[in-house]
Amino acid sequence: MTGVAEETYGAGTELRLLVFSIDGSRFAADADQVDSLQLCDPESVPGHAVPFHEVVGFTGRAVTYRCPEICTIRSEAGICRLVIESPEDIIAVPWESLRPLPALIEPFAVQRGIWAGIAESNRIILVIDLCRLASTGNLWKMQGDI
Amino acid sequence: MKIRTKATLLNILLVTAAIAITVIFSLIQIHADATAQAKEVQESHLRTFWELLRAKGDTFSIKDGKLMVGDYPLNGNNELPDKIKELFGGTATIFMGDKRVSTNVVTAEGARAVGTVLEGAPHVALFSEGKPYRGEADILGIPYFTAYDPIRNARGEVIGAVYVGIKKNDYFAGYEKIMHGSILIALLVGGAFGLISIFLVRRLMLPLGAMVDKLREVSNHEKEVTDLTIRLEQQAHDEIGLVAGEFNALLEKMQQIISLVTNITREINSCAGTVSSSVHHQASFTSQLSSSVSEISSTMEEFTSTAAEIARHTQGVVETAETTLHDTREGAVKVETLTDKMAEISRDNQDGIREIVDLGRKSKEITKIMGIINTIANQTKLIAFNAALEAASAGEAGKRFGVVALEIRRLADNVFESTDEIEGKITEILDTVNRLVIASEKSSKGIQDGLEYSTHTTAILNDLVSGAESTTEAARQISLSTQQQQTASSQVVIALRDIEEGVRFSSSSIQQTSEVSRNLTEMAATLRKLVGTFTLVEGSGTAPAANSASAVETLEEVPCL
Amino acid sequence: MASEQDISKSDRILSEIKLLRERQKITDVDEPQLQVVMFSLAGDMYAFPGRNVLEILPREEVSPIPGTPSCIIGLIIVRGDIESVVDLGKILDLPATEGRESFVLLAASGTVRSGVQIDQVEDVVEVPQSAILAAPATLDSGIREFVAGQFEHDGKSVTLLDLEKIFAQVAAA
Repeated sequence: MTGVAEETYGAGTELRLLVFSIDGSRFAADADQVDSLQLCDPESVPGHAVPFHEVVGFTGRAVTYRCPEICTIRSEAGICRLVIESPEDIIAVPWESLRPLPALIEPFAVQRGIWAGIAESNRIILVIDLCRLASTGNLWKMQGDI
Repeated sequence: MKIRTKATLLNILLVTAAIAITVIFSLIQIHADATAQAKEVQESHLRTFWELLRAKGDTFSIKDGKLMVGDYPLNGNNELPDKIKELFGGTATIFMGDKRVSTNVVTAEGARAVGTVLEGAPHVALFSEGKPYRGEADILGIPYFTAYDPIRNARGEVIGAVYVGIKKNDYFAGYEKIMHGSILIALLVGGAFGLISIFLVRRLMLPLGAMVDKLREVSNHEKEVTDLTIRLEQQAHDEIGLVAGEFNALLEKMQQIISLVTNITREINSCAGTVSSSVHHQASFTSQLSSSVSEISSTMEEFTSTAAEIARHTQGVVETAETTLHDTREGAVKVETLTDKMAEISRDNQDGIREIVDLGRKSKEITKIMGIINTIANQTKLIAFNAALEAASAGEAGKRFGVVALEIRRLADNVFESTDEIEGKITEILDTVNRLVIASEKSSKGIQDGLEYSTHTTAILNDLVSGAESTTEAARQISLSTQQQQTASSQVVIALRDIEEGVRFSSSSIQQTSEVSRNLTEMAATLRKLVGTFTLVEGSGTAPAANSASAVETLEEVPCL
Repeated sequence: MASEQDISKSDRILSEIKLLRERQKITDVDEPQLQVVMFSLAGDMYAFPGRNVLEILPREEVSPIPGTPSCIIGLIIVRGDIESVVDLGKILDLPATEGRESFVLLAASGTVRSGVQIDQVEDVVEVPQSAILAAPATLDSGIREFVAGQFEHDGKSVTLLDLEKIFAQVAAA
């Protein structure tokens, strides 16, 4: 987040987002937060990688990843590895295209790192802050732990 | 009678005969001489008598029932006969007619034998033929030479006869003496010769007797056997010796022949046995054949009648098959027409269904359009609702707008009502269409089934037609065949009858053969028995006895056919 | 005679109608009205006050959002803005209604704004304030806290709901 502070905020500033779908819902994560993406075998997902749907709140549902990838996030707090579906797109979104979440939803969504939405024609992309997700999910691990 | 005896007797007979003949010839000569002498004497006596008569007269006549010579009565006048007696001895008689009127013959009582009548041959010669008679007669038990001459009167008529008789003994006494002496000598000579002959013959016949004994031994009548092993002794080299040799050779030959005959008999016996057994086999076979043939014959007759029945039935079948064929063809044509009609109906039905389905689709399209209209009406209504809300928030100014919104809503509601109604109608149409489609499909299926059935039926009927054709053809063929079969079986029956006849003939032949065989065996047995009576040298013996017996037994088993 | 009678009869009816209409006008003017949006949910009729309902929206695709209570269905896009949608049936503890035509009322209470999913919009009408009665004590306890009143419309009982309380319930979940 340190890099972000130096940037110029305002209209026309674009955000690069990594778009992926989980169980019919589309999520968009800040590409800058992602350290690396690594393909992995759907049959043998490593134990240290946490499936995305489990932390984001798709509780009580069996979610399968057609083409799982291990997304590694780095911060001062440590490293977090999440298993996500292989990203389908990387889009550049201007800030004004981002919509704040409705008042009723926002308090719940923020806990899961979801902080905005993008209304794309008739579909909605949920913009998620992976670092916050890792923090709220207490997923940070030290380099040596892995 | 033995040859010896025969020969002896023959000898004696011959000697005796020779002597006898000699004696008899001598005696005959003597007898003839004596007779001639006696006759001469008699003739002279007769002549003397005639002279004596003629001395009394020249002519003979009967006067007053008395025979007269000249004037000399002869009746009861025994002068002339007595003169003869005086002169010559012997008897003399004069007959008047056939009655003795003057005689020197005196009866035992001492009376003259006058008044009696001449009888027999002399009477016939004298009085019937008018000829003199010469002969012999017993006068008063003494044999005489008799001579009668007829006495003729002047007219030549036989009016009486003269008779002269001389005693035979007066002339044959010497002869008899010679005869007795001759016989005695002949007997003596014969006896002597006979004795000599017996001795000689006996000596001659001695070897013959031995031969006879031997031969008797050969043909032993008591034991009823003929011993061919015995041989005659050849003592003399005369004919008897030769006969013995020849006889021995004959015996030898006979032995050979008999052994040969024995063997042949044995063979005949066995042959007869074989013939008998084969005849037996043949007979049983023939009997079997006969029964089989008659069985076959009856079966064939049955078969023929059955065939006739079949033929009749087959004719019926043929007719039925033809009718069936005709009916089936008609049926096939009808069903084909039906199929065509069904196909037409099916096509029409399919067209109908298509149109109905089309109608349904169009109705659904309408429903879809109605849905669109409804959606539009809904949206309109929604807009109207939102307009009403907007109007309410606009306060007094929005009131009129609110009225418009209300109108729009009513319009939308009307649209809803209309579309509901249309939908109801369309639903009804669709229901009807569905029912129609279902019904049509059902009927289509029914028609299709019908079509299939009728096609199937047509195929079946076509099959049936071809089947019926084949059946008819087959039935015709069967009919034809049955007729042929009938003819054939009739021929077979005829042939069987012939066979039966043949078998019967064969049976009688076999019977004859059997009889012949039996006769043969019997003959063989007889022959064997006959041969058995010959005793032969060992090895050429009488073995066939057992064989022949068995052959006979076998023969007796031959059934009569 | 007959025509006279007829004229007098029509006159009488006309005067009667006029009287009635006069009386109606008076009540229309006097009676304070409340606009309500009536809708059906799980077979019953409910209503929100017209001032709370901003817009009636046809049901659109709702994007689910993880980590929220079950009464929040998800998000919809309304003219470029993202709005939340709540399940009123779940909030009112009504039996689930599957497969029915559904609408979303874009409702607002104070600063909070959200879509409310209902089965069918029935009508938008003006109801006299006097016709709105207090909620009967016989109501289910699950509903009672959200009920503002009750009134009759076309022979049917309609329950008037308090949107503010409903949103508060959602926020508290």
